Amino acid sequence: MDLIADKLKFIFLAVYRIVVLLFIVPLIAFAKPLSEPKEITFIVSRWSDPYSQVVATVQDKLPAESYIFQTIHQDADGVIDRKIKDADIVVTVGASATEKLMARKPNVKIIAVLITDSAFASLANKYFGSKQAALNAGVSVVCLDQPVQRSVELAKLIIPSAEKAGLMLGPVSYDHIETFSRQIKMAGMTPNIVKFSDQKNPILTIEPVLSQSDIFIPVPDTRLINIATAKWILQLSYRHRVPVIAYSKAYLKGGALAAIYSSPTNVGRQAAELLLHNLQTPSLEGGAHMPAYFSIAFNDSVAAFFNLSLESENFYIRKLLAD
Amino acid sequence: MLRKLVAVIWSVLCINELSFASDPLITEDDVFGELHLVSSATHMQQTVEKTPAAVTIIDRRTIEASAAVDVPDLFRLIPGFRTYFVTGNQPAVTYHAFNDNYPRRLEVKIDGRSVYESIFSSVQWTTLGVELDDIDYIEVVRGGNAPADGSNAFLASINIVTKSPLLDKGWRIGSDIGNNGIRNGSLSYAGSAADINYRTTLRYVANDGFDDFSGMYLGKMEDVSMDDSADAVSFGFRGLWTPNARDTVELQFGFNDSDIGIGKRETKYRQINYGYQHLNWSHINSDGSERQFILYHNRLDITDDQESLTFYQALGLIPPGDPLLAILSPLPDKLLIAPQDKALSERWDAEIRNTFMSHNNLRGVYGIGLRVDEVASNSLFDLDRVAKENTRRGFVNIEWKPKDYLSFNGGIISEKRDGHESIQSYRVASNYQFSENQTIRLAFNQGYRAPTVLESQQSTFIRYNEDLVLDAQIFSEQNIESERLLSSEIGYIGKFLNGHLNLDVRLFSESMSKLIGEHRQQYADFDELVKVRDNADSIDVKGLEWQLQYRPNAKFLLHANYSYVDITRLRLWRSTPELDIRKDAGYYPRHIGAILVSYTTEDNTSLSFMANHQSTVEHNFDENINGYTRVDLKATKQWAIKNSSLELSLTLQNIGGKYRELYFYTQYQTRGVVGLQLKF
Repeated sequence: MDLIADKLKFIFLAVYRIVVLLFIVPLIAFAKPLSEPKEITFIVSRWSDPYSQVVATVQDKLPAESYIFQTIHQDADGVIDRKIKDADIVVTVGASATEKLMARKPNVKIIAVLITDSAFASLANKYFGSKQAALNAGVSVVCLDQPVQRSVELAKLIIPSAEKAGLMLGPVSYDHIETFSRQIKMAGMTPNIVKFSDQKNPILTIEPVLSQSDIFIPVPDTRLINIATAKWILQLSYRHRVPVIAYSKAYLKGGALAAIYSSPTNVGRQAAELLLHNLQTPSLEGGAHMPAYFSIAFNDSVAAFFNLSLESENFYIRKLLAD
Repeated sequence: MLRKLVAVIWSVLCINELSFASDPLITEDDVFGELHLVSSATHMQQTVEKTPAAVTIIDRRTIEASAAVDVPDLFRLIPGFRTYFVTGNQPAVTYHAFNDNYPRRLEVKIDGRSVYESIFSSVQWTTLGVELDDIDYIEVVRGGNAPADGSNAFLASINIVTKSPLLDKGWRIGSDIGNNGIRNGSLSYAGSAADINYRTTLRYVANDGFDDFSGMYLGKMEDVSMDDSADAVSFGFRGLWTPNARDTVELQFGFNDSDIGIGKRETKYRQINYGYQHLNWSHINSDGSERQFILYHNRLDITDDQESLTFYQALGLIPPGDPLLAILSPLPDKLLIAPQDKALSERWDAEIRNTFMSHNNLRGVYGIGLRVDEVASNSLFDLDRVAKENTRRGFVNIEWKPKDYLSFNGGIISEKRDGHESIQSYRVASNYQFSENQTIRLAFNQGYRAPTVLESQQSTFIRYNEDLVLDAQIFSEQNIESERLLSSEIGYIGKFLNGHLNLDVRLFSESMSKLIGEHRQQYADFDELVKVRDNADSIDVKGLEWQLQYRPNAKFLLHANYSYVDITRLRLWRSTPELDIRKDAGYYPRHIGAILVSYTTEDNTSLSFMANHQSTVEHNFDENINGYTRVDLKATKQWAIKNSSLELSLTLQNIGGKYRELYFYTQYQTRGVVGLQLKF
């Protein structure tokens, strides 16, 4: 029995050695070495901030010796077609850059950043049939829009006595009215929501709701709605002494009390983490990610106008993350 | 050139249309984009780091912290600006190199409406009807801004932005009482009627002007009785209508009725009736670009009481034995100077303005406009009495940001007066942000300033009839040309201490040629002298100015500024009988500076200290104006009762002495003003 066993062992080892010689050694010889840098290609909508800041943050967060970075403008069609073939992963920065790449349906993992949830959904529907189909095809997204819940919770932290939270929605957010109402109630306030559209008189529509609120939160919408309402919301905020929690630094500079927003650094940081994860995951399937990080900023002059004494921005960030 | 400009504008318009297909998506532009909240140097939304010129913003907080009593006081806080009084109720504001009774070459706008009056070629600050409480903020572009604001923004431009009707609601009653007979009162209301939000203000302003002067001047005892008091009533209305998200219509109108004593040099009373109407319609496109239509009308009626003069009274001024008497005496007597001198200055201005943005980091504003100026006067335009002028303009200002840290600005305006060659003013600038909080700006500007109606057409003669001129006082040469400015600057903008400390430094060189001035010339009339207006003067200015703002929190504010100018002026003083060209340098203060420190306590008591320094002004014939440092203090206490507030303030200006304003008899003494304001 021992002899038979030894012969079988010998045959097994011989077969194993042949297999190794025939298959594994050539694989090792001709395959890329394990330590070879991964190629990450950025396609940006524009050569300016915030796009360049996002790219710079990602590059800063990842070890340079392990990755090869290339940044291409969305209009450089020939370069894009050539480079995405070699890329391990493509990061699109901005909605129009994402559209440019989705239209190509490349066989490569995509991470779309600096894009709103609604823009991504719209593009996914257009080029993949649905958002889930796009995710299944290997497209991941880090959404830009901070959840309204964070603004609501920040409002309550800044003004604990606030009982009524005013909210202005444009057509893009009409469908989320129930969700927002629930989130406001969960924060211990009564929702006071106004639906706005470009056919309505902004002052007559917004003033009755804003004047009956303790704090007011405009939800970002299309550029027309944002521009058409921001000036009047801020002026009415002074008239009725109702602080505004805004979604951008431009709003803050204009006279909002606070802004909670995704900074390019926040976006870049989350994109870098997602890159690491996706490169280590063989699965092609993508995922939709809400913004993990956020920034808060205050307007000191406005705080003085409202006689508010505020803690540091980091204090509120820690509080919100803890909750 | 105008055709070329139209072609450029058209091509830019095409860029706009091509770049912005309607896009229903909400994108990162909607989150990161600007929100059209304030205007700026180029009529585009720009941060101070990106503007092609140095900009100072005097915001509401600075206004409230300052010890200013009137609007012109605020300009002491702006580097290079000089505020002075010609008489008690004729304040003047100027920038670099000009300091006469009617300083020109500085555009002043209220909510975009030019208040630079053709009849004075200057601004009548007392008739504007805008007081400190009405102002939201003031934006001052230091340096030529003709490509954006037109010809009158030759050296700088000011835009006073009044409070929107939406900023508050209800009644405000205010009153000021002080020495020099200061007694001001105002009543304003902000509210809404139907779809229109409005603010309306009724105001009364009165004071006794400067004290009479008694003292030594040029070695002699002088007693001067000042007649420069003022009584003024003004009314203003600002209405706002927003029928939908895209359209905004603003309407403003108002009047001012003033009785002002002109003062010693011209002992007469002036009655001014001033009225204005201003319409601004703006339309926002889906891509965020904006289209504006602006129309306004100003009308200034002036009636000066003056001593009448008959022909025989005039003959009495001729020395006995003069052969002229024998020639003139046979003529019958008649009135030469009427007891009232009437003048009218009227302006209509219309402009269409568009903003555009492209995906190539290019954006801009372009537009066309028409201005009609009409001026009438018994005394300023000799036989014609009326002078009229139409000016057409087209302009484009573009910003290109190839990198976030690098931006280029270019702007050009073409202005065409009827019967004259068109003039083109342009500016190019580059801003380089070499670190997160530090920016360098390089700018070059070539500006032209067209003569005003008064400058180009004035002829003040005292005549017996069409053929006999008794006294020629002043006339303008035919074909007065536009003044020219070549300027270049290096600017630095730095932010420190987490943005709480802001520093703005500007090193500049300005070369002005073909300046419109007046020289003396022999003339066959009563005094054998006439002043002739022509383009014979030139000025070179080199200088440095800086401003610093420190606001570590909502309670403390520090604002400081300083300017140094080195000026060389060449002017034709007399052409006949002998040529006299004068070169002078010290007629404008070399050093001007100011500091404002304000602190607000926990119980809403605010204390402010404001100091203003000006170095010596040298004169050839007059005594020098000695340098001075003026110290102002202000204390304010606020009480809030439910939805009402009460504010009591005490302002002391120029504590502990007096200093000379423009003339030896205009002595600014310590002034105290108690203010009370109730809002409910």
